[in-house]
Amino acid sequence: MIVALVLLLAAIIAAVALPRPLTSLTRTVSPTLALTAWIGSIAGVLFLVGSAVTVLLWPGHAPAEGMVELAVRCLGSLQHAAQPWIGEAVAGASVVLAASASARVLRSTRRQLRARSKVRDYHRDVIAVVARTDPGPEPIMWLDHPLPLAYSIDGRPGYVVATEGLLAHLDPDQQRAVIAHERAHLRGRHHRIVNICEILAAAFPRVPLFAAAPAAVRVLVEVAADRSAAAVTSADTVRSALSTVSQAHSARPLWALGLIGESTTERLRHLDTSAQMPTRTVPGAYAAAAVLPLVVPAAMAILTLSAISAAACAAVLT
Amino acid sequence: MKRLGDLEAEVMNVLWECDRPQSVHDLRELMADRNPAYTTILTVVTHLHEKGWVERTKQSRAYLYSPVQSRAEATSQALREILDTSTDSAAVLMHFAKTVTDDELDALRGNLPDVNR
Repeated sequence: MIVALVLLLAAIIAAVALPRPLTSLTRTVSPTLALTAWIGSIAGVLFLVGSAVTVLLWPGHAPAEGMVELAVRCLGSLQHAAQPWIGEAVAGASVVLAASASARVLRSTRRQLRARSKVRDYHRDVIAVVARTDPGPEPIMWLDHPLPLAYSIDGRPGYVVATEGLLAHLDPDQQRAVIAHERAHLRGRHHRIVNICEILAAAFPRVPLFAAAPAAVRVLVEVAADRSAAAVTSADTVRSALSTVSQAHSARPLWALGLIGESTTERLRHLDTSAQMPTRTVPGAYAAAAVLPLVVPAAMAILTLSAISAAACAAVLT
Repeated sequence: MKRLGDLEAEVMNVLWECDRPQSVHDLRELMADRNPAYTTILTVVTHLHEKGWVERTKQSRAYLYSPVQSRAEATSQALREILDTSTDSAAVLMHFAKTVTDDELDALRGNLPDVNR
């Protein structure tokens, strides 16, 4: 039970405290590194909670229990003094909570998948018919429309949808940049990353980490795709393509409202900085970004519980 | 609307490129590189007709098929439908469409001038 407590505490610390450092990370390090940190944190929290439930349900003492109990010996002795029904009640409650959490995730996954397949079906049935398709590993569907527009649809195969309006507004280099940007989304599996974050955010809107993830991750995948586009063309080209399409006028299609506007400035800023400094990442930075969000909260949880344990002992002894 | 196979998209492509209505026989000749069977094309255009993509007129013993809308009109309508769907359409990430001019917005709203007819 102590181990489960440590794990749960670590999960809570991670879920509440991580969004802030992650957000500042988003502004400083390379987008892929920041993405890794976000994904690592989310996976970490899920792992911690999952482990806590496993430990609670483990018959007898879970394998790692001895070690942690050493650290929090006093609470451990309290636990042994406690009535066995307390342990059972806690285990029962954790089963109920885990089941309802799974149900929430399942429900929001279903909703997300339904929306996704609706969009895909529509593209397969209607857009594919009206478009002129450029075949390739990621086919491009060209639409005969004046609105400058490009987006990507994931799946197998994923493809890019773009309009003639885009060709009219951008020069060939800028067009290449836009297509490279969309392809980067497909190759980087960005849709999937965003989807998972949105599923978790919809299932647990009150968990700060999950609630903050979709917006941050959306900006990050854009910045990452901009970088790939800049690698194929140049940062200047991507920047000019972005400004050209975002400056034309003030009216916007319904679903491009909100975040997109802010993210454009954010993206332009990133392109500015990436043009100035070479992007070299310290080896091991990715591993650190993935693992630290798990290790640091766990250590903090053990320390906290040890302190509580010491305080409890002191209180009992005096 | 049910699934439109590759062949259905291809037939629409051919019909949009032509300026006159085509019979199944004509379509077969225009798509000679794929060498489709007569009955295949007949099935495809019948489906397209049922789904409202093409209209047909009878000439002597054969039907002549032509698109109900121009490609531009059909595209505009399809795109409008996409833009009207909710903001968090899961599979779509949209980026480079930030803004529209008023004329383009009008076009999006369906007031596309009939330039192609």
